[in-house]
Amino acid sequence: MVQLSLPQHSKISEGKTFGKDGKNKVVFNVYRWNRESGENPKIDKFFIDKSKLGPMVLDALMFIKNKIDPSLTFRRSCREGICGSCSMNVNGTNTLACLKPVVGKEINIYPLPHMRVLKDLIPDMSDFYKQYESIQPWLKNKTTSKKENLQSPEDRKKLDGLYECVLCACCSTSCPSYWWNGDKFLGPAILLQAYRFIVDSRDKNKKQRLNELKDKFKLYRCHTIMNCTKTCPKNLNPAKAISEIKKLQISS
Amino acid sequence: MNFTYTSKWLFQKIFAILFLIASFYTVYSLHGLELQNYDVITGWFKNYLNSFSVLVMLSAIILHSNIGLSSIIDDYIHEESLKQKIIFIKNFFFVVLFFITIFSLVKLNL
Repeated sequence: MVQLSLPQHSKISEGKTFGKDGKNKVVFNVYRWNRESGENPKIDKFFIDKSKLGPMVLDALMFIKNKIDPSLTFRRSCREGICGSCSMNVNGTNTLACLKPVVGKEINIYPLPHMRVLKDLIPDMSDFYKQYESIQPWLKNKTTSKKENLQSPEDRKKLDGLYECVLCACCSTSCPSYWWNGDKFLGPAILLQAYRFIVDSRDKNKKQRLNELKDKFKLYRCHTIMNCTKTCPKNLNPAKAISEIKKLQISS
Repeated sequence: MNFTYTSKWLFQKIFAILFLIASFYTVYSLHGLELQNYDVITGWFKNYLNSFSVLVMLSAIILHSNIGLSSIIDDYIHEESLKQKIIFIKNFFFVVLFFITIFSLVKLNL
C-alpha cells in the first residue's frame, strides 16, 4: 500500500543557523542529511547578503560551500543548464539550481522529491539510469555502410524538443505516478527519451521499441497530470511525447 | 491491434465519449417533461430509443469506471494478493450493477 505518512527517520527538524537577518539579506533554508550521523534530516538556515551572491541559486550554494559550510553537499558541473547535475527542489519546484534566479527574501532548497537521498542535496539516481538503459538509448539499425547516416530536414525537425533533454530527472521526480510506482513506471524523462529514438528516422527498431513499452506500468501509469511539462527547466514537453507514444501504440 | 493495455486505454476513452453522447441525448429528451410525475417517466422509458440511450449511458459509465478503478488500484495497491481481492470485489460490484441496470430497464419496458 502507498504510505501516506512520513517514516520516523524522514521527519525534518530545525538545524543550525548561520548569520543573522538584516537589510538586503536572503535566507536560504537548505535540507541537510548525513547518513553517517544517524540523525533525522535538518533544515539549516543561511542568512546571506544578496550583494555578495551571484544571480542564481547555484551561485548561492557555491558561496555557502566555499565561505560558510564546506560540508554542504550537492552536484554541479556546467553551471549553465547543459549537464543537468544540479537538479533540486527550489521553493517547491524541481529545477536546475544554475537556471533558477535568486528572487525574494526566502529560498527553500530540498533534494529532488521521492528519491533516496545519499547526502544533503544529492539523490540516488541509479534506478533512474537503469530505467534509461532499459530503453536502449542508442540508434539501432543493420546498416554496415561507413558513410554518414543522413536525415532529411523534416525528419531532423521531429527531434526538436526531444534531444535537448539533459536527464536531470526534474520531470520524473515531480510526477505523482512516478512517486508511487517509480520501480515500474518509466517516468516522463525516460519516456521522452524513448520517444526520441522511436521517431528518429535513422533508427530501424521502432516496432520493437513500441512493443517494449506496451505495458500497463511502463507507459500507462501516466495520467496526464502535466507536472513534468510544468516543471521542466529546459521548457520541454514530456507529456506530449508520452501522448504521442500512446497514439503510436494504437496505430501500430 | 492486440488486446493489451493499449486497448483498455483506448476503450476507456471511447466509453467516456459514448457516455457523453448518451447523457446529452437523455437530458435533451427529458427536457420539458414533468419529471415529478411517475407515469410520465415510465412512459418515457417505454420508448425503446430512450431506454436504449439510458442503457448505453449506464453501461458506458460502468465500463469506464471499471477500467478507471483498475488503474487506480494498480497505482496505489502494491501488494499482489490484496490487489487481486480488491479487483474481484470491484468486478463483482460492477457485474451486479450491470444486471440491476438491465433488469430495471426490462421491467420498465414490460
